[in-house]
Amino acid sequence: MVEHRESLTEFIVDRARRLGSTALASMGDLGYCGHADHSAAHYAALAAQEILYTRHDITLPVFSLNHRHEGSVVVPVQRNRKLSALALHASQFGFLQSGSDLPPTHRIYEPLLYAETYDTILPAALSMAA
Amino acid sequence: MQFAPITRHDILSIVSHPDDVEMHHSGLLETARSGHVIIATDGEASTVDYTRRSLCRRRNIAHRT
Repeated sequence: MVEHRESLTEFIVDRARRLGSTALASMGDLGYCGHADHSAAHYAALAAQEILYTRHDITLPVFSLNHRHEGSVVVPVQRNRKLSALALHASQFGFLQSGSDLPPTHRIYEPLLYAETYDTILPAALSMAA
Repeated sequence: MQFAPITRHDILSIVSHPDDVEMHHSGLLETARSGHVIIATDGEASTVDYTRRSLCRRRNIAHRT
């Protein structure tokens, strides 16, 4: 017998309601670096946003990380924390030392050492109703 | 539609791995009024209170819908 498992979307809806969240955040439709799991999480967030709006009358923006660093919402970051986070992937991507030039496989993350920028996504149903 | 500035938001971030949080959303979570993170990986989702750095809840979920 196959046991029904709650979907990620349902879990997000449940958590957002219980926590009283006022916004969701995702890594963007391309998952920032192209990772399929990142992208899947983004679309689960959008689906949860629609359910929250259409079934629960809760309007939450999704702050979607912009991989081109052109988002209208700009957030400051702590460079050292970002470098430490990158260093966690050193075993996968090779050499990395704080303060040195990033290896080619890490170049996509270099802008995140200075700021995070986000696009603000509204529920699709809200846009259609306007 | 106008939304409040980030500093007045209670963020729920959705990522697929614990390492994703610091690299992708730490700025947003640190700027916001409060932050929680859903880490969804390998069929399981955990909710972490980012502000308190504590695990709130773990649930068995279907990662891909």
